[in-house]
Amino acid sequence: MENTLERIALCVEVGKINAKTPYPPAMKGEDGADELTLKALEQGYSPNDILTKGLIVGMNNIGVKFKENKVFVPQVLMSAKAMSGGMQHLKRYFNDGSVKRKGKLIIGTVKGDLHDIGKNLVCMMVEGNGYEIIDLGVDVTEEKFVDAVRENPDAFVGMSALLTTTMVNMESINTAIKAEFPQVKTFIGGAPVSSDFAQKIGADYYTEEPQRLVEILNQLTSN
Amino acid sequence: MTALSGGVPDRIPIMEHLFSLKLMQELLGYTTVLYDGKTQAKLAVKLGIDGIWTPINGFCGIEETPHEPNEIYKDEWGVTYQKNGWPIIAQIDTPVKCREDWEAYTLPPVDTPYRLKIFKDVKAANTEDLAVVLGTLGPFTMLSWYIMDFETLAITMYMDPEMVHEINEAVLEWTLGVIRLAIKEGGVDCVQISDDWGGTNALLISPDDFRTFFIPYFRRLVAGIKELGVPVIMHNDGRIWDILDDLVDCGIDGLHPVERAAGMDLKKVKERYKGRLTPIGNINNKVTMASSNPDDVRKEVLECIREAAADGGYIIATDHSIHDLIPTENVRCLIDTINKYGKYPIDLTFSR
Repeated sequence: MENTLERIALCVEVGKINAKTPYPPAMKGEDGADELTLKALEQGYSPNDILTKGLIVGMNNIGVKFKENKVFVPQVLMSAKAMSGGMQHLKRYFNDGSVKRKGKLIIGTVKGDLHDIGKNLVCMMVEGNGYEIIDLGVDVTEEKFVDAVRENPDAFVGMSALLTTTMVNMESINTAIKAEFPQVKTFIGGAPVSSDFAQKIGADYYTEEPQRLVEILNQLTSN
Repeated sequence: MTALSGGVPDRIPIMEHLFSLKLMQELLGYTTVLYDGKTQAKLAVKLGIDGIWTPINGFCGIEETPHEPNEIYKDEWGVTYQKNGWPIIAQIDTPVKCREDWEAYTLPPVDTPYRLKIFKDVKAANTEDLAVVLGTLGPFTMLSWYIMDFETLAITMYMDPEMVHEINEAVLEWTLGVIRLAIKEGGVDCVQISDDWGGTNALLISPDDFRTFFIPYFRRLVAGIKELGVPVIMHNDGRIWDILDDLVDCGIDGLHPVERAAGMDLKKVKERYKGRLTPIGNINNKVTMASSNPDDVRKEVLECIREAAADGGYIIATDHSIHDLIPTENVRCLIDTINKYGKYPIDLTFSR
């Protein structure tokens, strides 16, 4: 019989937010990640275990399926909503330090580009895997990226672009960050971007999809 | 048009979306602030291509009146833009976020003074009788880019599916109304429905969700257009293999752009749907067309000729559009290569 944490993981994976939400149809009327997180706290599970063995497991599972093209963006969005439904009950434990984030990611869509769906997906999946997200939004200048790194010198940096004409701005942003913070690891992603382009501009990583970014962050933070 | 119906024309036709101000300046000596029908026709004629794409609701961000750079404004749909590109301007906000918004929402009128302006200007300037390709948007783009944003649509599919169907019905009726208006004017050679269903690696939503929420309306849209005696091209970039059988089954005559960069193999598309579908495109517009060496363009054009053109039923184009990073020399190379090697009957030995 599955325990509460396994059930939480399942709810996040399938996008079951709470008892009221109609999705997925097979789980209509059942408790979702929201109610089950509260139940787990009442049952005495530690907030850290609820996060790492429940919520993050579910998010990781959907991330792997997305990477393998077995699920699509809408399913990931529902999973992220379910994750949020559970996370709201753990906020106070982050605030008091009893649950720790694995790291920070500063992320934005670069100057001249207003597309954000890819960036938002990355935010949801990275946050769902235990990282703090500093979302700079869209049309983000070099100065804004650098300022964010000055405030968070231990953060990773992610840049997103959807257009061939805006991805060129990644180079100056990356150069500016590396000039002042050579140790900061930078990631780039987006439809026109490639690993060749990452190499050309001196970015540390190019990731084709969000789960790969999560995997690299997990490797970097475990070292 | 012969190629679109699967036949063998006198030469492989060339079709392009001309989205380059640089090209406009070089060929015509001026640029325009708005996407202008007369200028698009002149540019197509000057280049020597075979069709002119003319949107009547086929284009996100199309402006009715000029705006200043970075100006924030709303269009007739209530979509908010920041003017920071040409001609594609990404929206920064959409009008419907929830059911209450939808129930209070009114679609713009079908018949407005602006509606057919670009179309009429194109016809008036079409001195070489090029094919007039009427551009409209498909249901997925209308719901994920115009009326709602993609995230709102994605969640609504699962939380309030009925609302998605309601919006689709309203949009279908509107779109057919606009298309009937144009066809009644005369001069429409084909309709291109622009509807991007794929990303570089996969569809944007699952095939089942497309079948539930969008294929039924797309099928009715195609049928409604074909009832008026006009063939249909679908513009659908990205990797769309997993839904392509369904789209061909809806009755589309042509598929653009067969995006090479997204793994859409021209030869496979041609062979799989032989006699049912004319592929249009496949020249890589990010790498090949932007190359500093026009010979890269020539080689890719010859490859496409070998793979899809020998028996007709193929229209050459880039796998999206001509943009400002593409040297004019490369555009000329594409056209010159077709003029040299693309006349029927095609001698494939010369293309090696």
